[in-house]
Amino acid sequence: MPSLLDAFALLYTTPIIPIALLGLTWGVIGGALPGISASITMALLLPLTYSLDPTSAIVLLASTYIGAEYGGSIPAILIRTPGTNSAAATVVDGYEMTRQGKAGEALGISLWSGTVGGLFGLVMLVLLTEPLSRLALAFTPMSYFGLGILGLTVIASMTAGSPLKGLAAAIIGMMVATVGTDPISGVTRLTFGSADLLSGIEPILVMVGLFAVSELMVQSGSVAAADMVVQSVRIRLPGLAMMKRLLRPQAIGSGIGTVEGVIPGAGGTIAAFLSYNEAKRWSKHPEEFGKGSPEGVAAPETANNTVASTALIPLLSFGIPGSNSAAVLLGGFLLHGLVPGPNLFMENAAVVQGLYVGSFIATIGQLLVGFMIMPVCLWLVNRPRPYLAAFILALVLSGVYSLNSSLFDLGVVLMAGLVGYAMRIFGFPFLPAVLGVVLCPLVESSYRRSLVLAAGDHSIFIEDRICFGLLVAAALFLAFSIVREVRSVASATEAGQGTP
Amino acid sequence: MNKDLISGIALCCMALAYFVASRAIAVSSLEDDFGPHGLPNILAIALGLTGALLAVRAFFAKPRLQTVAAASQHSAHGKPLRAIGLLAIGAAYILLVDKLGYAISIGLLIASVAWYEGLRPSWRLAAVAIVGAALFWLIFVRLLDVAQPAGLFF
Repeated sequence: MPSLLDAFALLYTTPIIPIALLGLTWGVIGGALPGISASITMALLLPLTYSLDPTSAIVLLASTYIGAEYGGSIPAILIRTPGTNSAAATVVDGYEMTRQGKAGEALGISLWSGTVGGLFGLVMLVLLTEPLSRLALAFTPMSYFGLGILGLTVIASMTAGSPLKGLAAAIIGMMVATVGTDPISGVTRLTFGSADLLSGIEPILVMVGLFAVSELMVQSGSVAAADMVVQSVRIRLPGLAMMKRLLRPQAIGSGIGTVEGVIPGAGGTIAAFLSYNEAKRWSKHPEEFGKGSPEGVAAPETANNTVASTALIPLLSFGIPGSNSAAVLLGGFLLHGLVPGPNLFMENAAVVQGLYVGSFIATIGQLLVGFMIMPVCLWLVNRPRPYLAAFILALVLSGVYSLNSSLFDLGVVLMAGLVGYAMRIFGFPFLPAVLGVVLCPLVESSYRRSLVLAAGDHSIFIEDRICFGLLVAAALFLAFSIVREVRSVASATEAGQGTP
Repeated sequence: MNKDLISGIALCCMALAYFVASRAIAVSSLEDDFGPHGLPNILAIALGLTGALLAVRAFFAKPRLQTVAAASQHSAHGKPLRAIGLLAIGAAYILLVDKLGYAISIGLLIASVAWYEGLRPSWRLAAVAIVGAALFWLIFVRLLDVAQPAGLFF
């Protein structure tokens, strides 16, 4: 492991600080634009890295990744539009806080939690790369199946008051995910002959449609202006009491983010949803979740920012890119003749040290960049509603087109908006649908791969220790959620009978 | 008919349509035991059952509670036709952007949504639309190098 002092000595020999801050700022801007994912934001910089030395190039890309993961939460909180997939869980309580006139507070909590999560992930990256990388290798298709099922149990706690509707929403989300090319046989499913549907429907299209477009429709259809409160343009970091309250969700987010980050393909979205669910389960104020809970913002934000660091572990250790963003970073390494893997730590220690220091600067720099960018964002959302609606729709349509340069995608987003509007009218929750879209491909493909490996023998799911452990955890979580739901219904009934 | 009953029936119809569509999935010599039909079949049945349960529960529910819930939901979501009008502007953008090009179309989108949301046509509205279009063009086309539709004129 490279010495920490050697790493910080790089600050005098390489322009790491300005490069990390530049990458961070670019990443925050890219992440804040719906449809511009972290990987696209990084890929746009790849040509620029040709002219940089290897250390600076890798720092630029890594800090962009950190910035983009954080930036996705800004539109999620302010305009109910997740900038990235992993910011979807932040929408729930973040936007609710904005509606209550607490946008500055929500952004402050997101910024603080993102910084905490990023720093924790970085410590894990520096200290525990070797043991954590073994976990990445231990994950089989059966383990992924267990992980997917564990993720799906989150749905049970997101359907409070309407379990049937939540279940229906989750199934509809999974149905959307089955469109496209079958992951095992290559057969096309439910594409109706459309070439645009061959690669399926991307989760971000569904999220932007369900959250952002349906919100615009609701506001447009409301006779009175939406119940938005004029916001202060000041970002407010949490005070000491709030910081203490946020410790638990941050610990949950950091823990889950660390594990999810090292598992290739798991990603920040699942980590964010699992953290949200667990933070609610262990909170002293679970009733506030979904109604503007600060903990509901802190947990997912800590998790997805932790993932931004720990996702580098399988990449650096084995050269396995666990996500699109890690794949772009791998491209950056290869462009400069660097091959990630065990030899990288010995042959190019300076680059690894630079990556650690650059990531550290970018994570701390989030606070600085956040304070510079947020007041502008807050000022923007205080504009008159007609202008705000016009610019949000323009941003959504421009950003979504950037994904695949496809007008078809714009149609999908508007259709998802219409479905989301109908779901609101009929009282169906969104989050189960989002989880269904995100997790269905993981569950289906890993289940079928496992059965192919075991020649159709289902006992393989019990024989695989990680899978078995995850399935047991999923069963326990589900039982816990059902008991809680039954108790809350019973207490509500008692309260109703007691009321004259 | 209350909303849950309508939702339940709609879900059953959706499940049936999805099931029929999934019947058209081709059979492959490469497919595994579960096959590409496996999950769609399970999902169709699960949605059908969920929809049926929802409809049955709504049918036997107390009418008083339904009325209160319906009234509160109606006031929260306003006028559906007006909301769909906003979607129509978005659809018009999709139809026009290939012909007019990104810069002009996004400017028209901004102006028309702002007008639809209650602003009167004015020089100020036009100026905001033009500046907004220029800003979006700068960010997406110049800065991010996204090839937005050029249209017939540019």
